Amino acid sequence: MAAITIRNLDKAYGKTRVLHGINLEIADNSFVVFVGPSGCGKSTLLRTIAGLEEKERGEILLDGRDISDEAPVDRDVAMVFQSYALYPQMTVAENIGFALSVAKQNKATIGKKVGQVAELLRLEDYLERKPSALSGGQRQRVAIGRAIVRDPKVFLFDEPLSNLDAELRVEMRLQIAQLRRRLGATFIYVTHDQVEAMTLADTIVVLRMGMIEQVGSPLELYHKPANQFVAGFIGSPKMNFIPAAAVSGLDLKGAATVGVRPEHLHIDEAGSLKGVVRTVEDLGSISYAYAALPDETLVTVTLPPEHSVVVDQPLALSIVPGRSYLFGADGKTIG
Amino acid sequence: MAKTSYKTKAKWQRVALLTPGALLYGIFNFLPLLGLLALCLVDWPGIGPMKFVGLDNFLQLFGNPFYRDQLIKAFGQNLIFFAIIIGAMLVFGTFLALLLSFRTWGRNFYRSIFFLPYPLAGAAVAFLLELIVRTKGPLNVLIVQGLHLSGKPIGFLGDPLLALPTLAAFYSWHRMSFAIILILSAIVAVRVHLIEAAMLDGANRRQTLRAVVFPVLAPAFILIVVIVMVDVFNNADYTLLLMGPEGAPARATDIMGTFLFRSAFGGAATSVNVNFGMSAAIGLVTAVAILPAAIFLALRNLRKD
Amino acid sequence: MDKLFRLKPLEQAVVQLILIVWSAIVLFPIGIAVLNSLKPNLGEVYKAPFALPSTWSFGNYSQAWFGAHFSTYFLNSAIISLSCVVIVTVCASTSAFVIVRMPFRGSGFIFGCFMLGVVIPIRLAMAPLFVIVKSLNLLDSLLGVILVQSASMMPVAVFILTAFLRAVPAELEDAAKMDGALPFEIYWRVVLPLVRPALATVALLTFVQSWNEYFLPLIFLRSEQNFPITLGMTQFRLQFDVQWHLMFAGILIMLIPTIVAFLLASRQFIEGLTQGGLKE
Repeated sequence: MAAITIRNLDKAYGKTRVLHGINLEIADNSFVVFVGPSGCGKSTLLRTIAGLEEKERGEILLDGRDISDEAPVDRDVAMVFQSYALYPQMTVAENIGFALSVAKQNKATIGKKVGQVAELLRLEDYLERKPSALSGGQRQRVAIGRAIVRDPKVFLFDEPLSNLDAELRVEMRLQIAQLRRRLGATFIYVTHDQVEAMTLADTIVVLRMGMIEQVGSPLELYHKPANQFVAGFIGSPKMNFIPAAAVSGLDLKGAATVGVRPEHLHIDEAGSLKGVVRTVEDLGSISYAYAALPDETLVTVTLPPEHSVVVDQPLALSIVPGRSYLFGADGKTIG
Repeated sequence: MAKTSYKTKAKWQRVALLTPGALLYGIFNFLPLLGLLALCLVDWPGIGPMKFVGLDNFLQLFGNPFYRDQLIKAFGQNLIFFAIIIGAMLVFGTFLALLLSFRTWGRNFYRSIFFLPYPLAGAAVAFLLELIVRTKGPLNVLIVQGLHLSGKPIGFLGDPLLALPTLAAFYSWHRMSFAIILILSAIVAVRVHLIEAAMLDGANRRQTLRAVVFPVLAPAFILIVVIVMVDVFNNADYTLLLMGPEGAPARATDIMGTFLFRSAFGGAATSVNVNFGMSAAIGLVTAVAILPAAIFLALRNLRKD
Repeated sequence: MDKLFRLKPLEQAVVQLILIVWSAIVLFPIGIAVLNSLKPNLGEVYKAPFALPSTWSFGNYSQAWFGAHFSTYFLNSAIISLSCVVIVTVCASTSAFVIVRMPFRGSGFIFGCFMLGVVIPIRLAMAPLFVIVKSLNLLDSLLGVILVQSASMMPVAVFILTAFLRAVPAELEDAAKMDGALPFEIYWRVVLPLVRPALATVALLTFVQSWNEYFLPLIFLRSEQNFPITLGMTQFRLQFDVQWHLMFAGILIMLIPTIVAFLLASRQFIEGLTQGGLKE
């Protein structure tokens, strides 16, 4: 059991507020991802759960027990850092076993547990190496091993893949998903990469300026964004935002902006949206066209692999019925 | 119970880690520096009761001819001492550092040789060089018999005119590598990016040196000037070792350090004018005199962080 | 860029000549000392200071060692400087660790106090310092001199170490905290191994400076059996002033430990010099 409840959590650095009244329920055994642009408070929230930052007000309950005043080590949480934070002077085995040796466990126990973790993460051959002699992916696994060995109820990941190259990132993403199924613990994961968020999470928490914008499953967020910010943040390529004045043939219900995802714009001779193609990107399996509307709003359109769109030519588009979003002047979703 | 104990333990351990260093420094370094402010207000020969005299020590120092003349002489001679040393260091130091920055054969070997005197003890250097420059010493043998530069031996440390420059030469001999190393590292640091650019612009060697190398030497020069200044205005080891606290001959080598020492511990065994308050006052005056340089140094250090 | 620093043969010759001349100036006194410390009598020193000794008299060194309690001075210097090395490396690294890594209300002020010691030389405050040492009953004791000399070297040591500690990534310490390490363990097992080069620099600077220190022992020591070698040299000179060959031998014995320390770690030494600045 490891359910987390956060109530009215506030935090400030001096006069800058970084977390405003955070309320959040994290179910046992779930994989929760905090996303948001940099400076949105996602890392601070994670570090406050870890106990590396002091809260100002509010409480953090782990299975009903308030842990917000406890030391990190007493919270039953473990953390994997962005820089891995491996101790450079220690071998892989010493790195993984450090927490146990600090807890004064005997050498045989430490050796056994380190062995088990190393096997799980396929690190057996590297136990006597120093971190400097490992590749990025291996270091990442050691960092995860150091968290696993403590057998925590909650795993915290702070942008763990951002230092890896694109290919390795995909591989590690799959490994983390796999690991999570094996360990059956609660995972909290921070990233600014919405693809990571969409692929890994059961629940995504979108943060902006220290406040929660929306909580929901990846598809909920994709289909029913609560506001323009979430709509723009989730989904790749980004949702197009068109001033309502430039759109005709829709019941606007007083909306200021119309949002359409690139995949919901179709080429249609009779389409009401007219523009000029500025750029075409062919990626093989898919293509994107970037077209400028008369008011210079640039919209992205997903094209099938075989298309006849040519740069500088006019393009008429129609919106797939029922696939547009209406946002009020305050950014809230209207319909 | 175990839950709160980590934080409590952490707090106590922090105190335990900080305390030894803070106490050591606080008692034997920081407190005395603050103590200058209190002690300069008393008249006290080191034993017996202290007498509070207010600012009398300062009035004496600047008004009473006995002290004022010593102060003026010591300060003036200290300036001359400083000027000779800094001149030698900047001229020779820059010259030698430039030569070492070229692709000179054996430049690492030369650098090691040049650095050799630096770690030597001031006391050893003083006694060693004093033996060398004695009237019957090797240097005079070289000058009189070898090079025939002079008909008779030169009394470097006995002559009131020569004694102070000779001590300055000792200091320069001892510390020259300090200037060389700092200037050399400034040249090496600038080399890669700036010089390349200058060469691409078609500058020749002399133009490059003048336009690119010398301007970046300014910070190194300032650092050397400041550090040497702070040092020579409080450190009078060579004079104390070779000339005694009275700055023989006839106080021709008296500088602030000796004056300060004399005021607290006396020049000769028979000294009567011993006053710790006066010593503190002189220390304070010297501190104020070198304070601009000292603050500059502190700001530079903090900025570097 | 290489073109600028490459020398034509003629230039090379001129540069070599100048460098050799300066080397001669540097080596002249030291060479004279070595040469003449091996001469059998004073006459040879006077008559032909540049000539090789007629007989190589290594006995001068043992004569110097046993003259004027030289061995006692040497031992005192060793005790003082090794104690200073231990005290300064331990105290400066723990203080710097707390200041940089566990800041609290007032830690900036404490750092400021240390920096005051970097800029105002303790010699200027010798009168108040004397009063404090006297009131603690530490006059004329090795312990007193050790404490005073250690304290005088704390500011520069703290300065060098804080600069290094700031470069240690904060996430390492966060990781150690998550692992349950207490400050002692973080200091000893995580941070200290990472600043070993800085520690070596501080240890070396402290050793050389405390071995060479003349002024502070001069003020705080009275009895000859406590004298370090710098003070001892003065006594030695009273006894051997005219026996130049023995003077040279004594001076050279005094220089050996610092020269050895320098040869062992000249790189750290030069680095420390550019970091901490000249201070003695």
